[in-house]
Amino acid sequence: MDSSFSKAYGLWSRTRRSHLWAWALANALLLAAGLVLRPLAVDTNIVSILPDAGVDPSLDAAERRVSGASNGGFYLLVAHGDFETAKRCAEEIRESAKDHPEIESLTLRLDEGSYGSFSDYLFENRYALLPESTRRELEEGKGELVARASLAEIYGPLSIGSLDRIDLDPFALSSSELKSYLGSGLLRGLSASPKDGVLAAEKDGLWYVLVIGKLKGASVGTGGKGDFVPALRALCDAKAAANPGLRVVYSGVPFHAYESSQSAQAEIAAISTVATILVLLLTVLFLRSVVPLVVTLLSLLAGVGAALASTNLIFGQVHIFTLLFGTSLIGNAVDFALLFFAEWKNPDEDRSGPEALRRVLGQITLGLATTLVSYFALLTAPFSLIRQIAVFSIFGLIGSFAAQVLVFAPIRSPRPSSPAMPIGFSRALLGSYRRLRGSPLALRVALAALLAAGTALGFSRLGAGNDIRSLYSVSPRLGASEKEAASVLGLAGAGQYFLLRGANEEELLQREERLCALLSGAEAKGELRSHAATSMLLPSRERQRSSYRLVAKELMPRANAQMQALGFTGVEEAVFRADFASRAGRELGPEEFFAKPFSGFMKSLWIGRIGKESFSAVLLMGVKDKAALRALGADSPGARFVDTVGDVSAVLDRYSLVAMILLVLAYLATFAGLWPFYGPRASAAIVGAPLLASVLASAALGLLGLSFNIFAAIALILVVGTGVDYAIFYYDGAKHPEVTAIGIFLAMITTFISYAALAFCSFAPAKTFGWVLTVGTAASYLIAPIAARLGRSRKAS
Amino acid sequence: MSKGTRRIAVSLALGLLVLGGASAAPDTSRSDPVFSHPLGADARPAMNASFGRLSEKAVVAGSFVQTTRVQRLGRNLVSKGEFLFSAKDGVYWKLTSPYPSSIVMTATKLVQVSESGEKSVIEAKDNLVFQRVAGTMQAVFSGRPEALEREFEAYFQGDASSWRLGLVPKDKSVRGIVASLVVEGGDSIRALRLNEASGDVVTYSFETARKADDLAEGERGLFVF
Repeated sequence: MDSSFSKAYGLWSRTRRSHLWAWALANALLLAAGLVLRPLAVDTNIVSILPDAGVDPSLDAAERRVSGASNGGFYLLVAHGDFETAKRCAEEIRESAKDHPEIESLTLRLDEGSYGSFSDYLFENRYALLPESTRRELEEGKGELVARASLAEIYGPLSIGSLDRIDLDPFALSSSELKSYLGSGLLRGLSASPKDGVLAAEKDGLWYVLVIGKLKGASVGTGGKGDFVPALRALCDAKAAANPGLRVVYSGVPFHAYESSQSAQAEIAAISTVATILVLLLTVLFLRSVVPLVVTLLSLLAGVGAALASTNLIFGQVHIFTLLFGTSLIGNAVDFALLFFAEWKNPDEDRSGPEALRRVLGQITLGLATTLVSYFALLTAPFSLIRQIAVFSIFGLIGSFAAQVLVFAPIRSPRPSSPAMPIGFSRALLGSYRRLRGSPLALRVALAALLAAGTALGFSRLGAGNDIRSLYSVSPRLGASEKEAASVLGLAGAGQYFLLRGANEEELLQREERLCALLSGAEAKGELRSHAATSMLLPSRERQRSSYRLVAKELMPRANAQMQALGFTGVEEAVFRADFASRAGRELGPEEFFAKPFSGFMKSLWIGRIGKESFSAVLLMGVKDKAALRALGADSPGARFVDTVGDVSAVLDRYSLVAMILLVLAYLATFAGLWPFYGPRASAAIVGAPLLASVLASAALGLLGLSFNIFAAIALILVVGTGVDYAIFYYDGAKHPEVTAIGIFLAMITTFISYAALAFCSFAPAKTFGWVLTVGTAASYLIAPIAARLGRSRKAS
Repeated sequence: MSKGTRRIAVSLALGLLVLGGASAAPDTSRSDPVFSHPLGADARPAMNASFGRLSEKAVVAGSFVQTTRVQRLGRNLVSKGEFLFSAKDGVYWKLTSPYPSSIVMTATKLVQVSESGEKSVIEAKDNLVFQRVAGTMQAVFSGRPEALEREFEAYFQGDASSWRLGLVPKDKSVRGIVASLVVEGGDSIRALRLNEASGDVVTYSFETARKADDLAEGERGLFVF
């Protein structure tokens, strides 16, 4: 090993004149490409971190369109005991907020023009839109029954729909259609209705007036990159202060996105500040010089610059959670500088920068390589956020390493008067290991048994799984608001839907119709409350044709009797027959339907073409039996039951398994990489340190009541690099154990601080990630001297 | 996504509610003379006395004649039947001619039963417009003027033995269906005229045959679904 790194050092020494220029050029190019030519974009969209279901790229794209269309939507419920006050305040809030640059639409008043448009649509397409119940009766040859029922409807009290056009609709088909939609399960459970030109609901003595909003595309899912959410809250708070008894209930992804990005930004700032200050203080405290402090800070800055530029260059943006996880880089990136400066202050050796580098180059290069192995393993994770964190960390570590080795290593020796390092500290530390080795066997066995018992207890309590609901904790204020909104609107929980695909729009609508028939059966069995599909208002052409044929066969022969029953003459009957005949072959297609002003609410379900296929969603409400619906989807061609929470959780479970395989590969790769330098036994001892630390860290999760999830698995991969570093440093630093111990201690404590800060973060994934790394780092550090000693004794033997 | 999906659900369902809630037609005129007599303090004692007599009995039954004037066609559709009103349960209408059917309006449902016995149900409990229509029917038949005044601008003419009550919905959404109502009565309701927003007019002429404190044993089942 020594000869390899002697050659490396020789190369470094021969080329040292060009290091600064080469480093400066490389950094300038990277920063120009990643931050100047492509300005830094920080993505705060919490939704974008969720993985795709990962079954089919087209289905994933369709799913993203469904969620993308709805994520920008939000609701305000302006509540007051007096309806007029609630309505007035809702109007004032809408008036003040509607022109905000991030708002695409903010609706309060109902579009009364759509009433007539819908009524006309039902009339114009009365033969094509036959309700299922009417179709069934006609198919069964019960035309007479349908005809008489329509007369009863026309003559009956409280008839639904207008009688204005019964001369052209004597079978009252448009009324039947309207009744079918009103009676559909879609409306069950809803509590808001039109009142005085707005949508309102009354609950527990309060009137809630609904304001429906949508953010512009660029702001969707982020809560607005600007000040929309705080501006809206300030506006509503002012309105509430001026109108006693007034409250505003907020509901929608933008509010969650804003809250989470705000808290993430605040936490990043706090974590970075605290971690950086502690790292700097410890550096000064142990190395007793401001030179290491300045150089460490500069190499850290170089690392962060390289990380940001490369991530922005490769991904087009840097996710806010990458920054959050990336702050842990502070701890890792300074390790190289700290090891170097510990040697630079070594009182027993030549203290010039190049000499110090010669002594630690092997350690820090291997340390970098083993850490990079972990991050390279993460690059293969099928989860874009993880890949981004890996890229961020890889470039951050390389940038920091390069700055230390190429720019700062040729530093002059410290002044002779410079205060010495606290060698006594590391002597005491290493002495404790010696005392432990010399302690009675019973004590060592008892300690080992205690550790084993704690580990066993932790594992007995450790749960595994990835429930995405547990990954995000909503603030009490927003949680209460969402609960109230769900209660007022009567729409608790609707996270499931069907995605359908077809070779073309016609096949897609036919598949929807078949699925809807099955869903109606499921509703009858109580497996769900209701469903909604485009085909409810836009039947397939095949169905339109068959409906027309059914009317022609079963009702038109009764036209004469029907017209007479309504008091019409032969002339009016002839007009009716001519009108019916003129509608033969007239078919309604998506283009015509979606041009109607009332079709807006169906557009969210009509995904359209992706690649060579057409897609749509069938919305499910009040799902009671997921398994039954999933089975129903399996039996329907082109249909896939989407349970967002369940599906993403299942995907994360699969990814956890992938991460565990990567973990095994990381250990094998590290072991294989160490073998040429240390031999099999020492290599096994070195990788044994993080392995045992990982076991302890997993058990700690159980003791802390946290679940073992994808983030824990990823953290374990990072423990490999960190733990191996410490063992290598101890193994290679045997000639100057006290000096090495100070460097390793500093490396550990700075890393530990960064990870511990993450462990106290409110974002659940960061918490799990932080705890595994905190315990894993601390345990690796404590085990490393033992592993190094075991490795050496085996080498000696 | 669960949140996102719910957004679509709300838009969709509320959209349909809106569409189902009203029709597109101009407001009809208030040509009836009663609309020249806004309910003032002077007429209130007479109205209270009139409604006080209506509310003496919780159950009213009798026959009715319904005449629907379809404005555009210049045609009247006439039907006859029986009605049963229960202050507690709702209104039951049984059409006997020309085409038998029945309809029951309770606080939570609108149920139509065809000649063949097939039922079609519209859940009214979640639709404010339906609730108001049902509430108005209840308030008219059970003589509760305060309930009517909450929802309507009231006009009154006459005395306890013979009176006319004009009602104009305060709510614009309800006015999209019913522009105004005129109720005529004495001891009991004699006629109810609905001026629909479409311009059509539906007139019910009532002949009260029986008043009671409670439903007869056989009548209770009519309101159970």
